Amino acid sequence: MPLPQRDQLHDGAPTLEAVGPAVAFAELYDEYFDAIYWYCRNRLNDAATAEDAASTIFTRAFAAGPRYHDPGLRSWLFTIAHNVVINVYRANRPQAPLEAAASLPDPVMQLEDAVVADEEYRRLLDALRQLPADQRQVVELRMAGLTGPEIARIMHRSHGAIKMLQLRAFARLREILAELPGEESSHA
Amino acid sequence: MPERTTADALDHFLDALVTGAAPAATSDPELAALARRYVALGKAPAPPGARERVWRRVIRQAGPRHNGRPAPNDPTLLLLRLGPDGQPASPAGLQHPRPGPIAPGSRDPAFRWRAWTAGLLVLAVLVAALAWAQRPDNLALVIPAADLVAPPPTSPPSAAGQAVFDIVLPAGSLPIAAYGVTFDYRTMPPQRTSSEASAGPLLFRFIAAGQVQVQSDGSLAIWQADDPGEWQPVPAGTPHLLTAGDAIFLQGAASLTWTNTATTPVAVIAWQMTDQGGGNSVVPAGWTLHDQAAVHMAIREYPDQPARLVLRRVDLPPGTEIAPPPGSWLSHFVALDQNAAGEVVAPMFGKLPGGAWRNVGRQELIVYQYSLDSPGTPAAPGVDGSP
Repeated sequence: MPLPQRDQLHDGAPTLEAVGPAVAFAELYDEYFDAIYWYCRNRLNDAATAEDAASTIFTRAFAAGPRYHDPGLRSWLFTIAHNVVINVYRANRPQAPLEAAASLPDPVMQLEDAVVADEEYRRLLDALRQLPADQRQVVELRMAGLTGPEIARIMHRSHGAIKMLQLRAFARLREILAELPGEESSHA
Repeated sequence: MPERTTADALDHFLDALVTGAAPAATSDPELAALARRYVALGKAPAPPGARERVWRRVIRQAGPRHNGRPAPNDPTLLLLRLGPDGQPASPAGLQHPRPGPIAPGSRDPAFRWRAWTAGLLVLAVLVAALAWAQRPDNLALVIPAADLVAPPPTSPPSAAGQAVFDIVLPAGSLPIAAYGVTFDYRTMPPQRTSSEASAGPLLFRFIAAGQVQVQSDGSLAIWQADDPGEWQPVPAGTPHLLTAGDAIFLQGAASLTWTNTATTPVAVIAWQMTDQGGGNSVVPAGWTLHDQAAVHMAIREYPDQPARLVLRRVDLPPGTEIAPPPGSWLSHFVALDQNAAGEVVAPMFGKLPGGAWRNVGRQELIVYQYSLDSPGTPAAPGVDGSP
């Protein structure tokens, strides 16, 4: 079947200039949805709220279309995510500090349930939730696939500060996991 | 070793992990192993359905922008026609790059569509497809699709489930060229009314919990749980109260009005097959969508012969699998977010090679699965009948 030529298109059809950003956005969504979803889910402890937050994040990203190809795309996207998560949390829990999100009871399944029914994952996340907020965020951003410089941009700190923060975070995680039962059977 | 050196080494190690490079040796292998475990933990796919649900919200929130209508060159126009992985999701679609049976939230990274690397040819085809979508006769467009293939054999342990109803449809009932299909789990709160229009040709609704009154301007067939075995006709315009276990079946275009006069929400398993696009239809106002599976548009690959439509309930313990019934032409499933005890659960599935899905959560799930196949195919135990 012959395809219509551009000059045959109806008025109102998107032009090639408009196609590019939309496809780029769809690619961005495809690439980062899982990471954004789990970042939100892990911070907000609720599947429905995480989906709400993820939709807000990607809507804001779409509105800022020209940035799709910036070199700092991931840190930009996760900066949006960081701000949206804070706003969502504050809107839902106006009396509580953000750090309290880590200790909220889980109304639904947690991340570990989605990964695989594996005791190790439950223990890893239990330990993660015991970290101070800034250390926890470094680890969560690492889990989302960000590099050290990207995390530094998101958290508005120097790369050197992030290095020290993540070293202390993982060292503390090791201590916490050693205190949790069952670590001997895990592959440390 | 100074703390800063250790911090540098760990940072390099983590950067290599997240970027896919070969990680260098560190001075603290135990810490590196722990970091590797956390990074691996972060690579989990989102739950089935989440990607599509959020994509639909993004599209709704992103546009339209100008006086209630998209601007002529608004990229939102294209977003409306793309799926959440950049694949076309409209009747004007391109070749679907993902072969194999479609299941909720299915996504195979090996088939990700890389639009930019596809180059101008892909863009040109997209623009052409959009033009076709605006043609009044675009339903005649031949849509390439690979969504409908014979499902692979089921791998044990799997759950066959119990058929809750079974409909035999005469030849010619299914769309003859291209089709779209939507299968979802939705609820409506008490004291709410909602209307929807079905373009046909086929629709069923099964009441999973609660009760609801339905009225249609077309003729309905009603399946009553307390009198199974026969579909009862209900004349157009006649309100009918449906309770848990009941179902309606509708052929052809009609409008439906739903009213929940009870004090509890009604939960409905909804399926419809169209010969138009829009398999990813949004639930009507008043309903809340919980889970959905859809084929947006595909070429018919089922034979032109009588068909059997079966709805099964499958109780899926942790670790068990669900797969398309052997021999089925088309099958999807949705999972409830409440278990048999009424407790809230979050269905979590892992996709397996071959098309089966495993309940990787720790709770038993209630799953509804439909299948279309030949009337001669053995069915799961349960009731059956014809409208």
